[in-house]
Amino acid sequence: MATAFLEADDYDEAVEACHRNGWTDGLPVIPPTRAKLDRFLEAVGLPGDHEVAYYALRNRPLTAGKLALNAIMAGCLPEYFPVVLALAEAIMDPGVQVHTANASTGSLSLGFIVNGPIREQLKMNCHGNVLGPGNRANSSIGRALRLIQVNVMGSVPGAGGEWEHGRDVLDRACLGNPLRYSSFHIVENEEVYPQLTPFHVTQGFAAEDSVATAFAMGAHLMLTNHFEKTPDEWLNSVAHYLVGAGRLYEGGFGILLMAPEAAKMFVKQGWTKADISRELYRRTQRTIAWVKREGWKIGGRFERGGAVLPGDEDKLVSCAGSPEELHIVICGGPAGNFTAYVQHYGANFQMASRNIRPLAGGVDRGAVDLNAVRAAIEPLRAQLRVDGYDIVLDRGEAGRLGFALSAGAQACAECLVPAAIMELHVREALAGLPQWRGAKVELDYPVQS
Amino acid sequence: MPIELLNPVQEPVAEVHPIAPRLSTLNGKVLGLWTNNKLNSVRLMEMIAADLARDYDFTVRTGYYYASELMPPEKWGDVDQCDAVILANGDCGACSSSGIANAIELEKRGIPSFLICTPPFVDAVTSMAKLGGMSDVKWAVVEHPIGSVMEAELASRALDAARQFRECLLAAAADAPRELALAGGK
Repeated sequence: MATAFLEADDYDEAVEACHRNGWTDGLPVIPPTRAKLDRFLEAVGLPGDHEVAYYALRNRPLTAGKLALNAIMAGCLPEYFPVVLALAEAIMDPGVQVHTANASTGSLSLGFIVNGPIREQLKMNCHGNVLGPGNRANSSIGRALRLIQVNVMGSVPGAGGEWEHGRDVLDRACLGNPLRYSSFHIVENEEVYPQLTPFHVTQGFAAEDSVATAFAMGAHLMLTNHFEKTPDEWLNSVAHYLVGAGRLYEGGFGILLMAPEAAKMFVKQGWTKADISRELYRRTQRTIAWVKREGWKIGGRFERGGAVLPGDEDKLVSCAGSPEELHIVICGGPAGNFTAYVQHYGANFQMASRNIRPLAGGVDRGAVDLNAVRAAIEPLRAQLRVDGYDIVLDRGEAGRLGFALSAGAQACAECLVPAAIMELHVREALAGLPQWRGAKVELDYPVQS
Repeated sequence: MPIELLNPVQEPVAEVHPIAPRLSTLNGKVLGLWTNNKLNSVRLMEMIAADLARDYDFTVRTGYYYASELMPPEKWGDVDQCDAVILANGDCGACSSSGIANAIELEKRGIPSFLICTPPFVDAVTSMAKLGGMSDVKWAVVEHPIGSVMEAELASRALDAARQFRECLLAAAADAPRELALAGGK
């Protein structure tokens, strides 16, 4: 059992004590108390001294108790802790190369993807501003990872040389990275286009599994694709961006974050994620001879440019090691054709996925149950289908539900009621769900195919 | 009412290990030159070996070690054939800290080992040696950087590293003063 490290007279003093001891990321934290620790450990059904992994390079165990104390400080709720725990397991997979993220001058950040039912249970945001601030689970889970790096793994940051708070400065980042405040957090929208297989399912997990996937990264590219009206134009544009970034490799992963607006374009024409990956991979392929002539370099192997050698005309590089390593993840707001691309830090860096364990002890703090909403609108769907239309739940969070209407090829154009009337129908369908009474109902209206 | 805070910091749990016995000479010995594929690392080693060869008659074995991770014990190749090993480069955050951790692993195998690092990373290397349970492990400090310098600058770093190797690994006394190893440090 952990013993008290220090006592503070009141809450404010407790927060200041956390700052003084160097436990924070520079922002205030929640004081790590025994009562909170007990609730976090209850949520995963583990004792505090349970060793989740061992960081051999720095001779530090990652115990459930120390991980929980940092999740507490980051602002997590107990029910978030299974995700933090799964991510702690994933970052210790050798392929992730967490020591580089912990120590390198290269200023890497950790990133992660969350898939499966846990997203709804924790009210995680996979919609607008998914990568940004605003959602407690997204932000605090990512921040927990960072505080774990600092306090459990020993990556105390500094500008090179200071020994702050009496602790060694082992994070040697040259410039640092703003992503490090709450890690690069991605939550996939698996519902908006079910035709597009969720990321974790493409990796061999069951759709009903909750899965956390971790990786190390430098920065991401933000691309705009508003002028691209077809999959062909879109792929052409993205391929140009990626080749122009000048980072073509023979191996390694890439993660393409596709907004629903772009996904809609592909789905309407019957594309799968594998189709998109395959085509984008093909369009970013260049020969090593081309790379040299254009003055690019490949990883750290070549000086820029250089003489074209025998075989260089035949050997190909691309934005990822293979189409299978170029992952498409759907997320973001309903409007805006923006795309983000995350590339590995080096061709030998890998992603690692771990199952998120179910909450132990029946912890239930009012998680959003969208399945009840789906069931409630089934009769309305049946009515709409008669006239060639459909309605699906697209997004849901506390106090807000979004629905997408679509029109089939045989849809009767005059049969669709105006949005205001449709909203009344939706509210009527939800009348039996008191938790959604008064919720804002948004309708994406309608899509002719 | 006072608030009791629990400590979120995990302290290292390393056991303390002695360094391997030093060599009195390189004559007749096998010198291992293990590089981590950082730029200039192979060339630096060639220069160090050439300088040492002016004074000693030894054979060389070469190998590779991970730049940012602990090397799995079975992946060191024929490192156990070596009487001493030099590791390079250690002029970045991950490669300096993992470099000294790998040097400690070799010392535990009984092979005196010597990382080439640069001044910005001396404090990190010192910390890593301490938390690896081997504060007495030796390393060289040469001018920063190693990876992005021209041949002449690299040559001066190699001479400096070879001088420190003679002083720290070939000294009869295993307890050569730390100040010697940190000559180029802060």
